[in-house]
Amino acid sequence: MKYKKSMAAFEMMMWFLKILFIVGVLFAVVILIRSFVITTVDVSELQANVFVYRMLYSPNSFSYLNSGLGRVYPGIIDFERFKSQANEKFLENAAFYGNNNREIGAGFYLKNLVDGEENTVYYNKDFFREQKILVDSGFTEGPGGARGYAKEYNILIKKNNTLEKGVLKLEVIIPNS
Amino acid sequence: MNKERNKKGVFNDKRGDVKLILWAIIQIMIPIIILLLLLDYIGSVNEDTLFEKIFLSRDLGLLMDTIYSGHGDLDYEYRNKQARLELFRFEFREQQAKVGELGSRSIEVGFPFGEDLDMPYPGNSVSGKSRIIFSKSKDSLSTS
Repeated sequence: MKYKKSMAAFEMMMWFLKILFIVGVLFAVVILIRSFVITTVDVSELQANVFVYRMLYSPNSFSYLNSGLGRVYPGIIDFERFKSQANEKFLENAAFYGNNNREIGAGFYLKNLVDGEENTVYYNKDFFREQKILVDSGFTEGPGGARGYAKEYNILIKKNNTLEKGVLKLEVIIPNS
Repeated sequence: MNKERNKKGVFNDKRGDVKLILWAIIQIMIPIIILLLLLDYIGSVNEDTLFEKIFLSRDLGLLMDTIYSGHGDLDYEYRNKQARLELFRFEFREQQAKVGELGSRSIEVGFPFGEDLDMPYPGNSVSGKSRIIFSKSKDSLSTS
C-alpha cells in the first residue's frame, strides 16, 4: 500500500519535470522560428542615393538646364540657381515629402576652386540641422538615431556664361525611424 | 456482489489498473496537443504577409522617386516575382506608397516618396492586379 503511494508520488514528480521540459522545448522552438523572421528592411542608403541622383538630375534642381533643349547637365551647377535656392527653396518643391518633412534632410556645399568662394544650401534645413547633431554624436543605430551619407563630386560651375572648376559636397541625413 | 465481480471491460475490469490507462492516454495526448500548437504557429508564420508588404512598400516608394527623377515621357510596368501582387492593395497618396491586404482592413505598411509639385499626382489605388503601370509625361504622373 505504501509502495503504491510512493510510486504514484514519484510518477507525479516525474510528470512535473516532463512538463517543464516540454514547455522549455516549446519556447526554444518558438524563439528559433522568430529569430529567422525578418521584419525590418533597411534601404536608407539606397534612399539617400536616389535622393542625390534626383537632386542632380532633376530639371527643377540646381543643375544647369538648357531650356531650349530641355536637357539637364548634371555635371554642371548653375551658380545663380544654386544661390537662389537659399531664398526660394525650390528643392523642397522638387522632392516634396509633406508639410512636416521628417523623412530626409540634406546639405549641399559648393566650393569654387577658381576664386575659393563657398556656398551652402539646405534641403529641409531645420530637420537637417536637428538630425546632424545625432549623426555627429555617433547616434547612428537604434530607432532614435540617424545616418548620414556624404558624397563629393568634381563639377563645373556655370557662372556668368563661363565654366569654372568646383567641388560639390553633399550630405544626406535619414532618421532610423 | 457476484455481478460486480463479473464486470469486464477496459474501465470496468477490476483486474485492470484504470489509472495506468489514463496516464498512458494523457502521455500521448499532451505531445499531440503541443505538436498541433507548434504546427499552427508555423503555419501562421508562413501565411504572414508583413515582410512582403514591407518589401513592396519600399520597392514602390523608391520606384516613385526614380520615376520622378527621370526625364521625358516614361512608361514602366512593375512586376515582382517574389510576391504575388494580386493579393495586395496598393495606394499612392499623400507622398506615401502604402501596401495592404486585399479585402481586409489589416495594417497597412507605407514608405514615403518625394512628390514633384510641378508634376501633380492626384493619388491612386491599385488592387487585385499582377502588375502596376506607371506613366509619366511632361506635366503629370499616373498609376494603374
